[in-house]
Amino acid sequence: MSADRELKIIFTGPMGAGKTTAIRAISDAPPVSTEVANTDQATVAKATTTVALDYGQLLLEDGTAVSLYGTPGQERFSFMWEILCRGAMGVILLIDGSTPTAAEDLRSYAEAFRRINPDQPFVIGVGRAPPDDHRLDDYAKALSTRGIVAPVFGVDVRNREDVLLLVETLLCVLEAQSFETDHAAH
Amino acid sequence: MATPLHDVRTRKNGRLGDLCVEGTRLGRVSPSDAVQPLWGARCSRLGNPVSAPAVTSGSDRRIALFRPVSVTDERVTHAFQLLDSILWAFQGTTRSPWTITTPDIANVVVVYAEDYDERITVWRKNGKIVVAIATEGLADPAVQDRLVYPFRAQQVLVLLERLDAQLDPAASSAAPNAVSLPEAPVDPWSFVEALRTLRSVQNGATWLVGRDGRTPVLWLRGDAVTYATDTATVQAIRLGTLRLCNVSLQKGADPGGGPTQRSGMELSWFAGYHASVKLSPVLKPGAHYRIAQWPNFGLIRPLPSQLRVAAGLSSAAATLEEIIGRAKVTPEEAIRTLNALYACDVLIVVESGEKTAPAGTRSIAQPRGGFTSFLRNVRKHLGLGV
Repeated sequence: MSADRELKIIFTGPMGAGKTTAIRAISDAPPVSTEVANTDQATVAKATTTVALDYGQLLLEDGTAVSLYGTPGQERFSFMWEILCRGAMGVILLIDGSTPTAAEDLRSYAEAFRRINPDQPFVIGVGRAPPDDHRLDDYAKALSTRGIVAPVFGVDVRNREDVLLLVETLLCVLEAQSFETDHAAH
Repeated sequence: MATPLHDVRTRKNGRLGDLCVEGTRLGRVSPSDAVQPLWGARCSRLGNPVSAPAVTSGSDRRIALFRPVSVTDERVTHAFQLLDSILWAFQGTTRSPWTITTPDIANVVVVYAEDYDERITVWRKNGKIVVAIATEGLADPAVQDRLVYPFRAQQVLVLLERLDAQLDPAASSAAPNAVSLPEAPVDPWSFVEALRTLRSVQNGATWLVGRDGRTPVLWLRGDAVTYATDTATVQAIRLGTLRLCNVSLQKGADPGGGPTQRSGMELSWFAGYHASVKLSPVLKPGAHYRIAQWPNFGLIRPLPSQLRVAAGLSSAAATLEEIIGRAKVTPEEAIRTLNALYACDVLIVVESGEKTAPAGTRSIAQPRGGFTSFLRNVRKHLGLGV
């Protein structure tokens, strides 16, 4: 199957935001990861990091496979984002809310992925922050002023329920867009 | 052009708005007065039905509105305009006819509470009744001859009848029921509007105590960004079992180290969602709405129907009927969710003919059998609500 015909959901965000964890939470099989020892401890103190991609899958009962891709967190691998996003059902952007660069990360990733495909459903999960963190409202407002109306939710990707909320939101946006496309066609 | 609902509520082509009391056109109330959000949750919007008393039959009464000369607080101006309009509107419905006149020949003079003009003292000494309009504090029924803006038409009506009785004790005893009006129904939107007002005022330095009767049930920061209450009350707010429109807000102390502080958006969402099964009076079924921003659903934990309505309004503007079809929800679910989005200040109206172009799904890989069955299968696989 060509990359742009594949049914897939992209998980992206900076290093340490929880992409691998999120994919693991919903993938039918343990995700395939290309993790190596993290040599950038100054940025994020974690033992390993993804250098190419994470891969998980949902295998539906009618045999349809939905691929779950996690992009590498480091920006030097950003050339892969466009390749992975081609034809994707949507993008789930994960941000580490505990870092001082959270707002800037959110802005730069959101703008980058909007550029790649402005119509692609796009959902943002901010982790490691209390769910009622007031900054979430500020983040959403800041995006809104840049013309990006995207859901910004406080989540804990270690909870499957939270990852499902992000996926369900993506599906709902996709469904609404699909409805409009169908109606415009008729 | 998309218009924030704050503006829509007051625009009305710049004309004076109309208000209705039991189907009677009242008129002369400026739109800003008519939609002025309320501080006290118990203060209801003027559009509420107000029972009118017996038709005019008593002596002529003269009332003067003594507007302060140099006041920068526009609420004071609004308050006098509002009272002026209400007096005009009640012509022929009060027991005695009230005529607006100058202070010198008036029986009653209405002044601003913080106006220290020496003439006011003289009028009092001369036996005139002086009614004070305040813009702060509570409308305490125990404090006579005082109106706290924003006030309800019914409050003015009660005041006029009491003043009438005060001016003519004999008439009072002859018509004891003239002022015993049935209590107006509580406005289901009062708390939502109070929250919206607080957000627009942005006074984060103060705290308000929300009381259900005499019992404090929550603490709300003056900018409505944060509230605090106990876990049981949070559950009651989320389930809608605590009727927030019955909660009155008063200035008070901060909650201290007691209950956990929570996001005001949560309070706004559930206040709006549970306020009514009818569309907020501010929203119009035929208008096109979309969301300017998503609420934090990580906190709200939306129902699937709520999520679908929000998603539907993020992809393109829609009327109520359109969003029911697009989101595949019941009218009540659509209405309640629209109300909640309105309460959170994230809903904007899009002018007719300027509907945003919906994002398409053509750039996305197409599943076999189409999106509808594919999405159903994904949801079933993940155990998501359909």
